[in-house]
Amino acid sequence: MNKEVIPNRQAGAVMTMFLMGSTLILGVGFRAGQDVWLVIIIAGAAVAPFLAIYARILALFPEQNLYQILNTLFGPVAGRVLSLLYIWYAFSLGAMVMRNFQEFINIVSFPETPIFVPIMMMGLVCIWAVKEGIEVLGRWSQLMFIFLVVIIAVVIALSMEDADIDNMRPVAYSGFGAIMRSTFNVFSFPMAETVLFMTVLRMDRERNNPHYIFFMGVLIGLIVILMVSVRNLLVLGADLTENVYFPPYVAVTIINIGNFLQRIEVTVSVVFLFSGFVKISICLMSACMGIDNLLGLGGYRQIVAPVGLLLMITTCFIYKNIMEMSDFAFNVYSYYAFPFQVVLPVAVWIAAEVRARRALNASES
Amino acid sequence: MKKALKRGRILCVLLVISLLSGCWNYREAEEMAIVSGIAVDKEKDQLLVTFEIVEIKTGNEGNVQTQLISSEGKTMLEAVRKTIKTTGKKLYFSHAKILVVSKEIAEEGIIRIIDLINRDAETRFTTNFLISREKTAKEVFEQQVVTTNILSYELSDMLTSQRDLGYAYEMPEYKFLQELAASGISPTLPTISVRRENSQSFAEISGSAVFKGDKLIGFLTGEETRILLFIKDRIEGGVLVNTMHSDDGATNISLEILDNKTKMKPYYDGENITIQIRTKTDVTLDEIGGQGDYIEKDALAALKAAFEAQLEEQIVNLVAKAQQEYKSDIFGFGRSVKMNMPEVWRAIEPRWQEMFQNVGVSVACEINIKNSSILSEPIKVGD
Repeated sequence: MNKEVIPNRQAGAVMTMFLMGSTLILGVGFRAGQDVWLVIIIAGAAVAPFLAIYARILALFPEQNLYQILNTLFGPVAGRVLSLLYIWYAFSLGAMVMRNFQEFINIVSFPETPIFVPIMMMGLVCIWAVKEGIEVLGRWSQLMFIFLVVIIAVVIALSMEDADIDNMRPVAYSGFGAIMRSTFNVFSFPMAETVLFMTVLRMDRERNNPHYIFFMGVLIGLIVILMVSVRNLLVLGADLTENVYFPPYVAVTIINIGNFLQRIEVTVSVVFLFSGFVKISICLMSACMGIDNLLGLGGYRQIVAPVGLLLMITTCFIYKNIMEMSDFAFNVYSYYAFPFQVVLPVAVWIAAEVRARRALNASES
Repeated sequence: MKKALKRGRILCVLLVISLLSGCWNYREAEEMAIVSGIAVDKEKDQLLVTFEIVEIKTGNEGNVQTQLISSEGKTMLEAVRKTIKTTGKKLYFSHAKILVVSKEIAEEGIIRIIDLINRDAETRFTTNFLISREKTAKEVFEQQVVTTNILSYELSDMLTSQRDLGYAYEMPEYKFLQELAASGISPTLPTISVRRENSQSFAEISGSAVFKGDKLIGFLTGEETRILLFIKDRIEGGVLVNTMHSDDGATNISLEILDNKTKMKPYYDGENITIQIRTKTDVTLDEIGGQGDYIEKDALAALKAAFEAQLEEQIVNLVAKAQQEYKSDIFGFGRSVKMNMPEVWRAIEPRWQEMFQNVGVSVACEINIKNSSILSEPIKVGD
């Protein structure tokens, strides 16, 4: 059982939590105004072939993660160089998510608390979780996922009193260009970020079905994101959604049922806290596994703490302020992530298929 | 050895709990001055901001008192922080429910006032905005309370209860911002004034303030506000009154609104926009102030027609007033064009300001009298 394999359902739950991560607090696709729902659906369709590629790569090499696959495919030197790229991506993504978390806490609740304090709290828990391994994260996600979905569903139901369906009209007014640009944003943040799961999951030949994991995980995540985004739009309207840093938080502050059920924005914080924790943990785990493979340490657990501390420190200086963070997340990130999410996986996939064919031919002849 | 390790662990846990569970931004309730309402006036080139502060006195019964504190500043935040000079406490805004702005400032632009309320994380997006019809906004807060201890909360209750009257409406901050930002609609805000009776005076919320962009350009009366709500499909209750004439003389009749549905539909003939407004109102015949029998079939039909004609006329008049006097699209005609004919809106948006003044309206009101309450006939008077 020490092979670090988790059942399909748990892996799917981790993926859904990962997708909810910072998305549910920053909001996505609002540059397209009232067409955000259209954008999310198109992005979901656009990401499907890539999910198939990610799953196929894992299926071709059971019991290996992406770093090991890279070594097998491209040899120890080129494989390690490519590994380095993914280590960097996982590490930087982890720092960005941690920063989102910190900025949120700092802006909405504790303006006077030094930024390192929330980062440290979150960071230590993540280090612990990653040390415990993917099995613990899987079990934890399976349990908490239900809890979060119930919270989100209840809060959305409560929001419906303030919803105005006119906020969704007219359909497709923002134009083809704006919709496509937003779709690209949603594709890269958060949909195709699931590329990191190639680096942390190992498929058991009998027990796992990578296609099921990727498609179910992303589908459920997409539905949750879609519902929350549409709720934001219905309550706040397109202009206001674009104006605020944390649309879901603001949308929930408006809830007031009979002067009794109000001020429940802590629910947004809880959802973000739990799902953000999963996202940061997966990023950290991916980086550690990569370094383990890069240096041949024979186990990633021993470097979790130093890498985690490094992640926490990087978080502190990665952006100067939230303006930079928001600008990077919505204007630059899509291009930054493109090679990791699209170019490299496609290259790996082609190499993997060629190799698989050769192996098949060799065994036949 | 093992026991020592266990003890060490428990010690660690206790240390973590005691050291890390506190809050950095910890604030005691007594150390804060809780603001319930804000009023903003202009004083020369500065803002004069008045805060209604709630003081909770401990005692046998929960005793709540309010106090007014004023302070000046070039910006809102400066004025807010300058109150520390007199209160010694930092103001806490999470419970502020009302913002009253004097008309003088609103005429110059309201953004200057509302940006802080909007941007700050402590203030809430559900704060209600009001425009003062009096000389200053401050004097509104100096009026007597009637049903509660805190005037601002009473004003907030008044706004909520207006759904049974329709002379004003709740305009929380986020709704105002939506209308301010949206193309094809100009925002309005409810207004507050002071009503003087004998030696007493009370705050009164009625009517609305018309904006163009973020600048105040005029007022509507309470009656007109109700018609505005009819057009915007936001009416939830209220009383319709009309006088009927018959052989028995004039009789005043009231209908109570149960429910209303308004549909706005734009038409474009290539040159001009026509807006079709259709209202469908369910009412109760609640009061017949005379002996004429208006419940009998023909009379009821006449009554219905008279009320419908009255409502139609009022709607047409209000639209004309907004077009000619204020030139401000407070009804959202532009937004209705945008929603129903997005391609037309793309073409006409730049010149909508001028076009709005020539928009034609066709109004059709339908009033359905659901019942005549528990009396089936007018009150009988014997000889």
